[in-house]
Amino acid sequence: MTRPLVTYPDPERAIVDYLTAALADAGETVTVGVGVPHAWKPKDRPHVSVAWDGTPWSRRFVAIRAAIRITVRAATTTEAKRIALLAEGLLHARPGVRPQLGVMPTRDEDTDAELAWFTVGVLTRSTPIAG
Amino acid sequence: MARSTFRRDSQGIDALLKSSEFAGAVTGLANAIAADVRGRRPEAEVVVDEYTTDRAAASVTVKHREALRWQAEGGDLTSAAAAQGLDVRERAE
Repeated sequence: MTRPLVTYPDPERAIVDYLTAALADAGETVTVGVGVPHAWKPKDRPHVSVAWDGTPWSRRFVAIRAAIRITVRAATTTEAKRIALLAEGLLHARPGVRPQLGVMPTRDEDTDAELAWFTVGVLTRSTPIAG
Repeated sequence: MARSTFRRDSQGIDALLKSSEFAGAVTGLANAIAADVRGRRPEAEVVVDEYTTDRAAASVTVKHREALRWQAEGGDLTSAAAAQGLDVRERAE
C-alpha cells in the first residue's frame, strides 16, 4: 500500500503572517517576526516575536500541533501587556488555535525592554506533496 | 442485539491516579523537563517537587531571578515540556 506523501505548513511562519496582518488591521504600528531585530531598543517600535517551542502532538499524515510562544517587547510594561493581550485575542479567534498559557509580564534588564509573553497551541493540517 | 453497560469505577480510578506507578510516570516526566532546563541553564537551581491533589502530580521550579525572562525569551519550560509530548496549559476552572 502506498503511503500518502504530505508535508506540513510552517506554523511559526503562518502565525507571523497572521499577526502581521491582524495587528496592522487593528491599527497597531509594530513589527512582527521570528526572533528579535538586531540592536532592537525600547525606543523602537514594539516588536512581537514568534517562536516555535516544539510539537507536543502529531498525527502522522494528518496534522501537527505546535507550541507557539509570542513575546512582545516594548518601552513600557503597560504597552507590552496591551499588545500581548490584543495578539492573544486575535489568535484565539483563529481556527485551529487553542489557548495555553495566558499573558505574563517580565523584563529584560540587558536592553531595558519590558516583555509580555503567552503561548498557544497551533494545529497545522498536512498538505499533499505534488508527485 | 446484546446491550452493553458501563459502570464507572470511581474508587478504582482514584486508586490508579494515586498509585506509585502513576506517580512514577509523572515524576519521570518532571525529571526529564528539569534535566532539559538544567542543561540550558547550569547556573540555575531546578527543583522537582512531588505532591498529590486528586491524583499524583509533580512541579518543576526554576529558582533563579532571570527564570521568567528565560521563559519569555527562550521558552525554557514550554519547549522542555513539548519535547516530552506535553502541552503546557493553565489549570482549567
